[in-house]
Amino acid sequence: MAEPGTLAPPAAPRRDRWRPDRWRPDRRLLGRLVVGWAGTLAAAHLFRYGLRLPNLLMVAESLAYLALFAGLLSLASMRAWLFAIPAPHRVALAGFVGLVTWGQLVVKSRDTFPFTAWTMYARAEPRRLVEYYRYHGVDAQGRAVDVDPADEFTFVNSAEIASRVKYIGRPATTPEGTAGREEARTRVRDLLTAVAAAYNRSHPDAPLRSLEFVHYAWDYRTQPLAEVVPSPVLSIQVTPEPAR
Amino acid sequence: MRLPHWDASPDALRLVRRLVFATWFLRVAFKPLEQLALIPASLLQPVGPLALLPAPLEQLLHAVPFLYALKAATLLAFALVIAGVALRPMMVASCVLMTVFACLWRSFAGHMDHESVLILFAGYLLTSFELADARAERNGEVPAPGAPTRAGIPLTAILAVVCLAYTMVGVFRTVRGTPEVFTTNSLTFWALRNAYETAEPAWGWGKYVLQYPWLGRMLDGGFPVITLFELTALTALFSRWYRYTFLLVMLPFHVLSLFVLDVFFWENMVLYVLFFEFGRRGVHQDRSLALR
Repeated sequence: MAEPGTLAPPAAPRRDRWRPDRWRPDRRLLGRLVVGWAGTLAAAHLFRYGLRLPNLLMVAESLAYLALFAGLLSLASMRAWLFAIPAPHRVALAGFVGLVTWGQLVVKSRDTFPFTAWTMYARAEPRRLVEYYRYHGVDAQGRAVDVDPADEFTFVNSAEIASRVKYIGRPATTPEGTAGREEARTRVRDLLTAVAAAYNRSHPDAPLRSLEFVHYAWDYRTQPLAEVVPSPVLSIQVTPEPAR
Repeated sequence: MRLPHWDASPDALRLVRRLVFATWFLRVAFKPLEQLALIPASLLQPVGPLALLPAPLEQLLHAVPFLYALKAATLLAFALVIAGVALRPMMVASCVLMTVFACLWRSFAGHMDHESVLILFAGYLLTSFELADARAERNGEVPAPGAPTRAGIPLTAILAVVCLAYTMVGVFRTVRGTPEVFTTNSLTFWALRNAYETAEPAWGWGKYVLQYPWLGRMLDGGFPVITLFELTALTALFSRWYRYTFLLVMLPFHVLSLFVLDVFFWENMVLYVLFFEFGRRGVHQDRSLALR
């Protein structure tokens, strides 16, 4: 068989590496993997928790990846590929997988972007409360209009807007005196102002005169949707922009 | 046994590179990033590397002229990559510009959704391997006969990373969410939440999960199956039949997600092309290699 590459020779006999998926762990390789795993875990832990005690969930998840990568690297065909590619490619791939794993362990996707955590549908919502917000406006002709920020700000998708609104909407709807409430209400006001301005640009013939932010909370297990009571959070009066 | 794309040709790599950067091009071309200038600073949170910039500089990035210039430069860089002009520097420039672009638009997003993340990874990997090719050439490393082709290496690596992302979804859900996430009709909740959270969902079939309980049962029943496929996604590197089965399960799942959960990442699904092998199958070669 031809030399698979000009690179470091594998520990296993070369002829074995080409057999269909034989399970043959390579101690030297696994040793390097453990070093890489420990470094990635330490980096993730420091980034997320600083020098605090180890977070058990993070450690448990990282152990799952250690087992996964160890399993992969113990397969003959995987090792054959890895040892046959040039060293710079191996380094690039190892570094990339390390960063992806680091981002996954940190679970703070805003900070680790583009190495985000893949966490879809992984946490049960204990409150089971479907919360959503609506924007009720009145235009210059006195007509009620429903405004959707997703129609005005199309550079983000509707789910991204909804999550931003949720983050400021929840503290804005807490009882008076709650920490962060007033700051959140200021943000809601900023949001309404921006949405109204964008709406008025796209509807110059019927600009908004007022816009109200309304919160809905629906416990779908016990309550019909029709009985959900809207809770107005705050509203703004929109002053017309001077003609240019 | 060989991993997929082992002997992919330069044409295959060129095709995938064009596919990835054309997807980036479409993503940027149809994103009116200049709207970011309408968003008050109090509603923005810097994302990723942009959080390291000083606040005044970060605010400059939200100015309309900069946003237009960024978009123009980004599209130009992508176009040059697609055309194959000054490939390596343009790929590096594309990665930097696309990262800034993606960070900027997400500064208004509440959560970091995974729209375009895998296709972003694909671009990063293609660029990294181009640079690695240059390095290997400088080192005088010549691909040995029988080794994976230089064109095939990035394709296999992208497939592996795509599968790894699926696996990470499954592992995270298993480690952090089991058993509650499977025993509390959580998908029924998310279908409802996603359908109502946005004023005008694209399809909003999630609203019907209470009216038609079979829909909720289908979601909740399919959830462990999907999780199992996510957990085992890396098997796609070793089995052609698994790759096809994976597609048969995941394609309907993603399409259903569009209708019921209002989530659809078409950019990431472009990479499903890598589940079909580029290059010769070379079964006889595998056998001969195995016998030696």
